Amino acid sequence: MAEKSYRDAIREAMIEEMDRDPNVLIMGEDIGVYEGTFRITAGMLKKYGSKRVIDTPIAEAGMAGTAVGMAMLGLRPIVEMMTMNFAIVAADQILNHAAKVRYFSGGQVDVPMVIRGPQGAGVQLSAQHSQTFEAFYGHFPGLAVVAPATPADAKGMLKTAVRGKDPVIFLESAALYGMKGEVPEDPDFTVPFGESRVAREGSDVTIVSYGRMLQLSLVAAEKLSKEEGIEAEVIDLRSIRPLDLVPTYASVARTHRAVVVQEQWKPFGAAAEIAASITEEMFDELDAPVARVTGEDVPMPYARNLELLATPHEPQIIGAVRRVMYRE
Amino acid sequence: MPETKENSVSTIDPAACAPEWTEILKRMIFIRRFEEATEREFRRGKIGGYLHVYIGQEGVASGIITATRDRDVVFSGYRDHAHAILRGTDPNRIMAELFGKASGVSKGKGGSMHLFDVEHGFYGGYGIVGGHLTLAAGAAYALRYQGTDRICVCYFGDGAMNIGSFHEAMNMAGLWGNQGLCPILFVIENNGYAMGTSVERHSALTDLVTRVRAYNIPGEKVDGQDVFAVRGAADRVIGQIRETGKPYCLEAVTYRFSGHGAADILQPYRSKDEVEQHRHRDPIIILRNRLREICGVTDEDVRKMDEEANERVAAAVKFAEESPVPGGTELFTDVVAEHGPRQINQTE
Amino acid sequence: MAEVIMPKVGDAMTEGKVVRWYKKAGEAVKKGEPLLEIETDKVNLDVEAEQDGTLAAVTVEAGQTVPVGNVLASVLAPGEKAPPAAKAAAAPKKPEVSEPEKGQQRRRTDKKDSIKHTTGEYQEAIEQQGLRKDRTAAPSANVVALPEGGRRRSSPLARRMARDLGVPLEAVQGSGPQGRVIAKDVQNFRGAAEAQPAAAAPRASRVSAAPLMSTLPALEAKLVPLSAMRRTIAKRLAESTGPIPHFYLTADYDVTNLLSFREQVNAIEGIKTSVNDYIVRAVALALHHHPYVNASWGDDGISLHGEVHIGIAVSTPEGLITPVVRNADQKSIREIGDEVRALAEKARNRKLLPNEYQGSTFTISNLGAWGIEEFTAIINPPNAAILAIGAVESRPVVIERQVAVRERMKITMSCDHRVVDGAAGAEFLKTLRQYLEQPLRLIV
Repeated sequence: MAEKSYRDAIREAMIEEMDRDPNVLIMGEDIGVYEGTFRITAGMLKKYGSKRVIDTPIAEAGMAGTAVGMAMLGLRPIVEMMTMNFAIVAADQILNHAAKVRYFSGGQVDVPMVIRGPQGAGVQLSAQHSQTFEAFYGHFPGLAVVAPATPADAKGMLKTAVRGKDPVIFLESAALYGMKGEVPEDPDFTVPFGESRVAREGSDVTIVSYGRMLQLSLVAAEKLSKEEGIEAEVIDLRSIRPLDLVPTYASVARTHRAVVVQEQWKPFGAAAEIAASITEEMFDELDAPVARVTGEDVPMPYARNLELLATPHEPQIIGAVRRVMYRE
Repeated sequence: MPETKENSVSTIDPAACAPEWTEILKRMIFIRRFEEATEREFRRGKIGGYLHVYIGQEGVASGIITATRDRDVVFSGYRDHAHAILRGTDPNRIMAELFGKASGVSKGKGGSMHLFDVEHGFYGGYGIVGGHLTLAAGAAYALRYQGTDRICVCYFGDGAMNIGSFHEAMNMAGLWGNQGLCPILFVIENNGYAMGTSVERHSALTDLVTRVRAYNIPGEKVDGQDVFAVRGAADRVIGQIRETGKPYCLEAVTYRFSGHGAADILQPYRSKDEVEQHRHRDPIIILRNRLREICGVTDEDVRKMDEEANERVAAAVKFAEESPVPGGTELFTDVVAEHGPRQINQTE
Repeated sequence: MAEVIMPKVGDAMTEGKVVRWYKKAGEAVKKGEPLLEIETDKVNLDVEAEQDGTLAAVTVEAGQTVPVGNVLASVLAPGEKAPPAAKAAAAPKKPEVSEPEKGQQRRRTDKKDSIKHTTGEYQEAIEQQGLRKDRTAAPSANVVALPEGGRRRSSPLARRMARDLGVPLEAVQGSGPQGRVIAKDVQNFRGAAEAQPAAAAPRASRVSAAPLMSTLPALEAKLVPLSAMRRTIAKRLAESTGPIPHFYLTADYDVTNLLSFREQVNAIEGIKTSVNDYIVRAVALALHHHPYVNASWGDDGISLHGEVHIGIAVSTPEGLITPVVRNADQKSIREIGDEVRALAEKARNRKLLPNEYQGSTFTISNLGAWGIEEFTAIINPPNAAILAIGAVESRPVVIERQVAVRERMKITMSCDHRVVDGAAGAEFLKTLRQYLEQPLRLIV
């Protein structure tokens, strides 16, 4: 184990996979000569050459679509979206092609490709550059959608994504890039999809989250423990599709109350799906309605104070926990 | 040029009577009869969804695909039956797919718009106009990346040239072509209409191949009704693509005699006269007349070909009709890789 | 004088590190000449002099990280003197940043832990707007207006617990929003309900720790899964005889000893017991040996009750009601007697609370006082059995080949065949016989 940043974990995963398998290549806007806007691909052009580190035009549909074609012919492209916001331009390629070609071909092709990039709010990028997309992609069968919350998961899950057979939407949290954590050194360290984990044990309430909000939930849980004597169990979903809610159900069976945390808009969000599933499966165990903590239902504003007001912070999580515990 | 091929297709001399021409005529007649049958079966309610037939355009696919090798790959839009047939896909399984049967090429999960036969290098079959162009460009890149001399052929209609993915695909193919990394033949099947909107009404510049040249992809127009011209051009440019790894574009000017889809009955966008005019330039008749001259093909020969085609098509319909529908469990297969996401980290 | 500051060179840059100074304070610098190297989270860059002059007041040393915009040094124009303030700032040479603003400090520390990074700022934003910190307010109450006096609000867990514990939900005071009954409320209610009978008979409770009585081992409450055979038996029997397939077992007990024992007890001043009190205790103890009789049928399994609560059928002008003696196996004859009489009194005055007539695990119906020799009773669901007690009569019986007159009592047990098989019922009646015919067993 070594301590690494989330950013370096992603970078290492790509380098190790490119070293391991010559079919792995990476493409994206300004990832080569410019070395990447977040410098995740710095030095890679030099190491692997322009055939494997492809600087593309600013053309997300082109990037995503050509990657689908490459994947169908046996390559394992990793597409870096400068931010996931730009991938909306490639929605047809991702949702109508990558996600479905295996099915409508009757299983004749694999589509081993990864679309990865940062998402989320926090650095005043305003309405078009601050969105999160787990619910958007999570809706579509044929895709895997993951949102790692730690450097170890970032590395292990990216390797799983690259080695898989299906298109993976790999959602990174820009705000976590600098976060450090222990990362196993084993080059074959992978983290399977569809296995959520208990990030913090507790007996009073279950907080369910993923990505950056998972880290926020952990901060809130520590505060609840210290200041209110409430021990929250925090579940890290890690992947949104496939979605593993079994540990969540097991936890709710003990705590009888759940709070689901997501960064952005409440209507039809991931939290809605999770809350509904908990209610369906664990109805008789609930002692309070499942609470959702979400961002405000507005486009992301630019002004710093407004941006802060638009996104969840631990007081909201603490408030929701208090509410489901009938403490207010 | 990388690795030599397991099979090679010889170029044909248009002036001489080569046995290939007769073969091509047979195939074109078969495609015509097959498509007529699908329209009939659609009317009978045996085929659901959308059905886009290739009647009138047979020369375009026939002239080019017969010039490709077994291991080359072909992408097409949703008017895709002929392309699959020409790649060697079993017509029984194509008809079964249209009937929504388990024995269909895509197990009855794709339908008319999503024929797919990887074994024969046919990579679909796509329903979103222009969507597959990027896939084909990526596939071409992969073929060269892997060090093969295989090429990719990508068919699309004139209507696909106005959507963003067309431009993104062309530009990237042009860029990669500059590095010799994109061996692809783009084939514009210019049948004059984007569904019901004529070229004059949908493209600011009606000389379509010119628009492709803007992306540093050379190209030329070819008479799509004259299979000699199409095949001649294909022979010439495919070799060049294979050699250089650079893209090329053929604009095949053609005409569809049938409606846009089987439901396009009224066709208010064109007159009956116009269709009649074009029927004089039926690619099958043009080829037949030519073969009469140079090979002495008789009416009796053609009648036999017709008969054979009808028998074969009837057998395909019978096969499709008698095939079972997909089992209910098929609903859930092929959504993701067989072993499911938990095993997603298992590499082969 | 020109200030040399930590420049913001990236979209998300909030701080930068001074890697090294190329120039020392006091050295002459030329416009465009690199002064120092900085490092951000993405790049290393040189910061150049913006004018000719002399480098002065270097306040941040190599290795230090400071927020964007922080002054690092200044460049004095030729002939210009350093202002005294700058000198003062330079003097302390703190290892940390030179007194950054509060806001900057927050952002600086925030950046190290990118999760906590917005907490302080968020606080500020909230305060400015006068908003609640946890702005995700509770879902608005009564979005859909519910009719007055409609169904009581309760959490699913509370409802399930109430069902399992036999607690009437209507009787529970809800502490949640809009009076929602939550799990805690049901638990509290049940706790109170268990305390209540004891409170009703405070005197008796003092005697409760009767030293003569042996302590019983705790019963185990559990759900026994239904075997396929058990399900089939249940289904068949139910089809043939209605929802509860009854069968009946009758026994004739010799209660001569019991009556004389009772006489002795009643001779103690201030104590009055009835035969029924002995029967209740005997049944409670016998049930302890036969958990399958102290049980309930359910679709998911047979519930063996962890406790013994005996319902006593009491006739009132309005009809039959069965007040419950809770944990009857833990109570003395006298306690049982006091409690039964108090409950019967309440029943006749219609003062029984729901928790006083619900939740029995077994029921006794005694028509002895009416001179009924023997009868069968209908099971009181979800009990698995009911005991019908006939009148005590003097009858001639043969004992050791001699005719003798003895006090006899006939009892008939109705059993739910899905739970209690014939042999199991017979075993129970055998145990009950031991208690009733050898009454000292009731107190040792």
